[in-house]
Amino acid sequence: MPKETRDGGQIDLLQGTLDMLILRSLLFGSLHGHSLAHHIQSTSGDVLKVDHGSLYPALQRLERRGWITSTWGTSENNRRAKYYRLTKEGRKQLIAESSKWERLTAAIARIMRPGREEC
Amino acid sequence: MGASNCGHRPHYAAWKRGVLSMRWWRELSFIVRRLIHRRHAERELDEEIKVHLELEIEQNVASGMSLEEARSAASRSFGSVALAKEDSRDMWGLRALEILLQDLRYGLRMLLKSPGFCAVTVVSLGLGIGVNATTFSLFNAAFLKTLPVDNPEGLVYISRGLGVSSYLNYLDYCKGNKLFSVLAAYSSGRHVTLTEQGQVRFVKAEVVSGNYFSVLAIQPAMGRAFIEGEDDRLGAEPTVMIGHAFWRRYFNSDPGLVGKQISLKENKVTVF
Repeated sequence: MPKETRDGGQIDLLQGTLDMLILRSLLFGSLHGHSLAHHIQSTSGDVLKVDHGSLYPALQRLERRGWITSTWGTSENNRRAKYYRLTKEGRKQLIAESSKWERLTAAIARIMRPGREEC
Repeated sequence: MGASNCGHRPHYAAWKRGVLSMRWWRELSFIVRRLIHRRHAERELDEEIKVHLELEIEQNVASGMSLEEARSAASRSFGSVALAKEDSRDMWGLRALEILLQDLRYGLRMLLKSPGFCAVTVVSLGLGIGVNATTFSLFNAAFLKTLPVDNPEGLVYISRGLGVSSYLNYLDYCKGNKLFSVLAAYSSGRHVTLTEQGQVRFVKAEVVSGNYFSVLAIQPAMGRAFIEGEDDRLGAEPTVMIGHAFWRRYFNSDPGLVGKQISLKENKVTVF
């Protein structure tokens, strides 16, 4: 639903991609929810629009599946924050998801721009 | 009735799909943990979201917004807090439990609406289960479980109905016996006092004939069984055989107990 004017033409996330983005963001170390949200947003060049609130159900879901674990730690400005870390299973899942994602985008690209088959 | 049914079926189906697919063991343990520590989990989630908003506000202020602007920008970027919490709780699988309870309540209500049908169902189920259980326990006693003695099908129990047989009766039976290969006797239901390390306990005991264990071919795990003509002659030292549970309970599984003396005394009780 178009609520208010989106600054800079941000795009809503495709359904089902948030889990993959979270797993990918945790690949190089543990993060808490807030830094995770900013990591995803800034790494996408501020194109993706992520409701920060939608991260939390996703984190619970990933933890439930056993792909991430959480521990309480201290954040940069001395606050108690919950840090999420990738598990071995989560790493496997990330590999599976990203290969699936690559095939999907390649297929879509072939349909959208039929002339350029070289890549 | 129709409405409530349609209302929650889809959730139920979704729950089933979720649990049955992915490695559901791990998920189940997650759900159970969240269920047991529900309060704790809720508090953690509240705190997590609170900290998130605080960090966001701080960051906004640091980038030059007024506190008011920073607050509204933070809540805008977060979206609905209530929705985030509700969706997170759904991931804990508590919704599934709530739906189960709803189902149970609904089932009970339906049963109470038609008590006649309910009664017939309960009685027929009860009868069916009862008959099955009885048949099995009979079959079990007759064919599956045999007595833990040698040659159990050759064992016969003799008693004088409600009358009492004395030891002298037993000796007479032995003398006149032409029917059985051997006779052994026991007398049960005696209460004796065990005095052990200053503690007095009432225990149950049986007095048996000297050949009791050899007739039944029961070997003790430790020590020796009674010897006929040795332990049962007049003036013989009183001997006792104790069971495993008794040994563990009152003697702490003492491996050196065999050969030691313990204090057992037959009670003389007057009943008023």
